[in-house]
This record gives sequence, C-alpha cells and structure tokens, in this order.
Amino acid sequence: MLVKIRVNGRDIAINARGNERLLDTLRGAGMKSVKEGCSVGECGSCNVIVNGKLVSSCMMLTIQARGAEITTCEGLGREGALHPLQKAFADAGVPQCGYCIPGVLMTAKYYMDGHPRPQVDEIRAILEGNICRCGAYTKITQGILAASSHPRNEL
Amino acid sequence: MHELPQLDVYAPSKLGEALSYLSGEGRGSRLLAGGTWLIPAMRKEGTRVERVVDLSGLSNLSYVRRSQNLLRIGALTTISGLADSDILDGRYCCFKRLGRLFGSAATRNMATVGGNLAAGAAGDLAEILAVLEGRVIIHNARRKRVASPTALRLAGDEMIVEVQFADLKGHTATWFNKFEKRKQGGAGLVTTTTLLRLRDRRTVGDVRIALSRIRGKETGRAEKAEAQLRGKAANPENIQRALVALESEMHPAGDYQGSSRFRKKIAVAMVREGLEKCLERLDQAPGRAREEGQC
Repeated sequence: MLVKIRVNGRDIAINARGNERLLDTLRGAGMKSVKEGCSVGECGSCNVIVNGKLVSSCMMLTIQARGAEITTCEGLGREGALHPLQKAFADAGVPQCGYCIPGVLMTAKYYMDGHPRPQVDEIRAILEGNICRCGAYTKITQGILAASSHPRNEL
Repeated sequence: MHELPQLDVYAPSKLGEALSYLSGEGRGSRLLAGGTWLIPAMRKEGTRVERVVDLSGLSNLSYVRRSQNLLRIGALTTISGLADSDILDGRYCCFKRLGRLFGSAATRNMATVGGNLAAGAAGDLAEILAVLEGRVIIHNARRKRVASPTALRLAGDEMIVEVQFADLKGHTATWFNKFEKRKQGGAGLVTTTTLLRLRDRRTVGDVRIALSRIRGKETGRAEKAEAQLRGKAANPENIQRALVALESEMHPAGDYQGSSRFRKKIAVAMVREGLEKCLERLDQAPGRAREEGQC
C-alpha cells in the first residue's frame, strides 16, 4: 500500500508491506535515532511522536500511520542548533551508552509539550515507559528540569 | 522473538465496510486497533495471523459522550483519550487512575477501549465496567447485540463498537488500583475497582467491588463483601467485616508471578485502600467528588 507520511516536516511516500513497522520505515528513511529495543512496546527506545502523541513505533504498522505527522529525535534540533532538551542532556552529561536517549528525548518532548512546569514526580512517572540499562534516570530527570527553564517557544 | 508474519491488510474508512469485509472475503481476519496486544502476541508468542483489518481509519469510533443519563464510549477511544476526557468528572476517578496505571504513556496513547476488552476479561476495563455495570455493544454486518464486559465472546465477524453505562449519580466516588511487579507490559498481578455511594453522608447507599481473579482467573464482583456494607454505616468496623467476607469469597488462581494466598492478601489490602480513598473523596465538601480533584 502506498503510504504518505510527513517526517520531521518532510513528506515521504513509501510502498509499505503489510507487516512493515513504523520503526523500520523510519530507520529506512534515515531516522537512525529510532532504536529497536524490546520490540514489544516495553522499553521506549523506539518512541516517536505521531500526530502529537507519543507512540511505540515498534507496535505500529506503517500503514496505520498513513497521513500522519511524525517527529523523531532528528526533528528536534540539528548540530549547532540543538533543541533545549538535547543541549541540557549534553551539558549535564546525561547519556552513558546513549542507546535509550533518543526515545527518552521524545518522551520528554511529549511530556513538556503538555506540562509547562515539570515536576520531579511527574517526570519519574512518565519515564516509567523508558528503560535505561545504564540507570541514568537521575541525570535524565535533571536534564529535563534544566531544559524547562528555557522559554516555551524554544521547547 | 518471532518475525511479524506477512500480513494482508484491509484498511476500511467506514464501520459498514469493516463489518461487510469480516462477514465476507475477510472472514477469519484479526482486528488491529492500537496494536498493543496483537503486535506483541505475534512477536512474542508467534500468534498466527494472515489478514488484519486496520481500524485506524474509523476515527468516528473515538469519542466519550453523555446522552441523557447514559455515558457512551467509542471502541476506538484510546486509554489516554478516555482518562483525559472532560466529560468524565471527579466521580470517575477509576478512569483517571486507569490513565496513570495502564502501561506507559505511549501504550496509553495507542491501546483502545475495544482492544482491551477484546483481549480478554482479565483486562482492566472489564473490571472497571463490572463496577459501573456497563455493557458492551457489538456489531456484525447483520445485527447488533449487547454483552457483559466480563463474559465477552466475539465471533469472527463481530466487532466491539461502543461501551455504555449509566452516568453515576449522587454522592459517589470510584477508585481503581493495580499491583504489578514492574510498571510495563501486561496485566497487573492484582487489580481492584471500588465504588461507594453515601446516602446521608454516613450510610452506604451502594457499594460495588470488582477484582481480577476473584475465582480462578475470572474477573468479577465481590458480592458477599458488598452485602456486608450496603445499607450500613460507612465506618472502619463495617469495612473490616466486608474485608473478612472478601477474603472468604475470593479464590484467585496462583501462578509463577504470585501464589493464590499472596494475591488474596494484596487484593484485600487494595480493596481496603479503595474504600478508604472513596470515603476520603466523599468526605470532602458536597459536590467535590464531581470535580477532578486528586485521583
């Protein structure tokens, strides 16, 4: 089926197989930040934002995303013009192995879009869906709090 | 981990198209709503699927509406859509709490009301609807029927379309609780839902208690425990009597995740908390339980 999606502001048309997951489509389109972890929606490594909602791209068929507006970590910022979350994570030395971080950033972006004043307990609650095997949760929380001090229009 | 099988996907844009397909050339197809049950089932357990009906085009089945005294929830409403609905006031703490305790934020944005019910009676929604005395509206191409949320059997050509329950009235509060070993993935070890309505600010006008695994793996109401409280004063002594009755009437199946005895102890503690939380909410100024408040 021909599927048209908009990824980070760029229109893409794909001839998607029935069993093609959004995760695979996005990686095939060059969005290598989208990581495969558990493959069954438990670890959050493949989290992306679809039509303003956080989703696990490993549990969504590409066909289900037809017509959708999708944001991945590549759409947050770019080298030299990082998103405040990316900058805060880099400044605070949040990533250790870094594998889970793109998914964490998408969760954080989704959370901050709806919560202008982040609270520590809320951040911890939203991060329940992201597994970080390095155990960097404390620094992740600090990074999100640090980013929240930026003006809203930059987030 | 199994590879996803080759899938023949049909993507209708209308309910009628989906139902016609299911009763005709698409007989034997699986319905794909949020995908949070079917995709892991195919990947983890190798569930055999050849054809799916992708329901994402039926966005008109995503709604929460109040019509007169009836609340109506479309089958494709997501768990987050349900929990965040402005239609559901503070009396529906059970749904607000479901929105916190059901998987991760991403799962809540994907999983649907109909999908959770279709996945089996052990789901959280079947239990909540047992307390709300709700009913499930099921369609096929020729007719519609009504089913109980805890005794749901879908034929291959049927689809859950809507869930309905009578709007809660009076000084009523609800609470949903889930105990799980890890926040992610699958059903809780024990889940409980409680509803309490006070008649004259002290007497229990109505009480409803539902649990996962009340008998074996069956989700259902704790009728003996309810009977111990209904019409009585809402005080710690009567709550204790109800909990003793609950302990005698529930016989949960044990498994590697938790023995029957363990599940029973946890369930009793959670029902106690549920009743106390309902009372706390009802002790607030009259009408407060109708507001969002702290769920």
